[in-house]
Amino acid sequence: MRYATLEEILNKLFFLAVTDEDPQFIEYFLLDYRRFATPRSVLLGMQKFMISLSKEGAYRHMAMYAQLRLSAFLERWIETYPHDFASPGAPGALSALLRQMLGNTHLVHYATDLLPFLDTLPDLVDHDEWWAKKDDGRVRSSWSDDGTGLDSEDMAVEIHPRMTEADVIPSVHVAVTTTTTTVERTDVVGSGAGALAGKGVISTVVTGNISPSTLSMPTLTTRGSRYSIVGHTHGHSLGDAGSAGASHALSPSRNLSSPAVHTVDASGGSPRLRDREEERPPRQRVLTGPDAHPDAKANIKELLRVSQALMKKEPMHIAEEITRVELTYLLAIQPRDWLRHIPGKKAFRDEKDDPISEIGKIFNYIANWTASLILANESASKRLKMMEKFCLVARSLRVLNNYSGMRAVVTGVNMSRLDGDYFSQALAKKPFWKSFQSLEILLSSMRMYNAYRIALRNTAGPAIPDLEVHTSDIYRSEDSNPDFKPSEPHLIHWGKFMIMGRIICTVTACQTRCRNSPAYKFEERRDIYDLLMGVVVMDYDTIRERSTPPSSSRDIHSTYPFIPGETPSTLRIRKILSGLSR
Amino acid sequence: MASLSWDYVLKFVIIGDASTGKSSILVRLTDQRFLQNPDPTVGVEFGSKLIHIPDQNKTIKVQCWDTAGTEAFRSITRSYYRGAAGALLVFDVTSRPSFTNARSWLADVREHADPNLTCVLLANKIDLCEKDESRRQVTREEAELWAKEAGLLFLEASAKTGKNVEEAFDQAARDILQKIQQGIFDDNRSHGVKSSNRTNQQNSMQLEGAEAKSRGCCT
Repeated sequence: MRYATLEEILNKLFFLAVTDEDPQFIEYFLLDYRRFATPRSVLLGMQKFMISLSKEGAYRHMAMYAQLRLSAFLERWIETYPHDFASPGAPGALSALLRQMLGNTHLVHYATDLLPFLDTLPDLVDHDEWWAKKDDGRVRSSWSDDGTGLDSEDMAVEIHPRMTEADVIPSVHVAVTTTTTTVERTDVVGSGAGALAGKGVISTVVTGNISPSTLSMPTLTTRGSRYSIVGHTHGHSLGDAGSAGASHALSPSRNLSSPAVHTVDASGGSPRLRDREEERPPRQRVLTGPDAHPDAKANIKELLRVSQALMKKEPMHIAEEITRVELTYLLAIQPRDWLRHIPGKKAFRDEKDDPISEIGKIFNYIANWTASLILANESASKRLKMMEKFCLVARSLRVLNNYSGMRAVVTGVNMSRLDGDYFSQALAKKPFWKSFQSLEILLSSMRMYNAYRIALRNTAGPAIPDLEVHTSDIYRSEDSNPDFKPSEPHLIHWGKFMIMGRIICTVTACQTRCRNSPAYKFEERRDIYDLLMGVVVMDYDTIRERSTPPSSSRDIHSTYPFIPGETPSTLRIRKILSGLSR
Repeated sequence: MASLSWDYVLKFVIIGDASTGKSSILVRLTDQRFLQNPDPTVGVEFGSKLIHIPDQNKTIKVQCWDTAGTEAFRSITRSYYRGAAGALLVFDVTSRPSFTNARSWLADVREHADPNLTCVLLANKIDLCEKDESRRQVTREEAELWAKEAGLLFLEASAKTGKNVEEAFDQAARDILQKIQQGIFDDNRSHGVKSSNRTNQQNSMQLEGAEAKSRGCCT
């Protein structure tokens, strides 16, 4: 499906939300739908789909099951991107949808779980409003305004930022008594079929009256949702051990763990729902290192001291510390940050707000740090020893599958020998150099970084991807590929959004593995951390100046200091000879 | 006659402000391959093209690198600059700021790239001015004068119609060839210039027969 109308995409979305055949489709949709649709239009589409299911006569139980799955999808959406619902028109549409759900006995427990979320909407800020598609009516689902009375303008209550919760839910008075519905085993198409095992029991979740006053004082628990209510909703026993079967049977999606939503916290604790848009792991700020003042000058003596101290450390320990530092930057990236980062969205270009720019900053820092520590040494032989050390560090980073750190170190080593010819002969004799060159091949840009992509694809454990490649991918998928078909603007370029989703989810998958894997729980080595982050490194001009080789290649094994300012000799000699031969 | 073998591989970078049409130029150069397959992860070498220069009987493989999107990773972007023999400096004739900013782009590339790099100033989106001259914000004379002062080649082009896109690379390739012949660029030792090796020549004999079949995707 390369081009499709919004209606076609939503149809597929709802179908897949029920059957769970293609979880990636849902993940990609939630990630980037705001480029081509508004939350309100999706909610209205969902509302109509729910109503059409309610009218289903012949397959009523199937329809109920589908509604449950859709409710689970809504819950997932709210948990993953809560601020989407603060966008214009969304609160009203959500309110209408929840009220409609309250009218269906089997959906009441979902609705009551989600109702308190409406209270939080006035405090939510839509982070994505500035890049998301505005409701200009260009792409509009026929569901939203087809005259069937479903437009939530009729049903919904618009929420203004300063509305009280009583205003928000003015008329939700649901008199509910405990009811039990028995659902016979039903054949269900798709992988969700297994969820309906045997007889299921629907227990309504509310006893008593739900009114704004009762809803205003929910006791929030984490029974799988941040917005569950207990207390006024006793009898809500789906999470109880005794009714586990019922829970499995009739809340199938309660157990649908999407890797993007359910994660294990960084400390290795139990799985929990993670609000990706609000939680960013804290990052230790350092006064020097990547956060040094731009005018701060590198102290060669200090760099030399660090360089000598680093020589005594194990390459693997250095690699682990680099990985530990980079990991905090990687985990700070939220999936939608990629969409905020792409061209033309300049409001996000403040580096402090942009975790992708921040990881670029730490990448550049590690590259400069590597080059600085090599170049702090004055003699060629010491520089070679330091190069060897960093080649071993790069090798260790490869073992750890830290592609980003490995590329930074490789870049740093290459920066320290800007005139590649100079060290070539000396390096060619070194046993470590061949393995270093194999890393360069791995990171080569040939065939769109094919070697790296294959390596990453075959990396099973935690990995820190080379984010420069993935950033470039996002830009390339965006460039020259408009969001809508130019000749038929109502058609969405869904193929492009799938690709963007795939690119982003490649990184997200690495992040998840990094969070979950004990392999990345490194012991903090404060001494190495200080050597890594506690210095002011050379700027690019200084690196370039100091990387200029000595006037004679004989100095390669000498201990004489380099003479900055000399230009590469080999090229000059060749030019002179070339001139003489004419 | 164009052949699948090449005499030199020349690396180019395409630079300039966002929305000046850099990617479209790359698309145009590579015969729409980018548009047909918008997935950048499939391992296809985007932005490479064979250019034949008949009067010198040389075939050049141009490899272009669009650095858009990777500005945050400056240490790598600089390595792209360093590895280039040519640069296409693109501005939009309907956007004055993009022309003004071209000066800082040039300073950047001159600072980090090979000092002998050949740079072409490309005034893009000329098709918009052909329809409505009032949209033009940078005159041809002004851009040409600055290009001359800065030692750049200059062309007005349109990625949309294809006008002068290939010509820009053709001119740049000729200029670099001349530099190679003068010894300014040292093939195989200078960044951005690689000459073909014997193996490649041998392969070309085998590939000649397959030329007609393969040309569709490469030329």
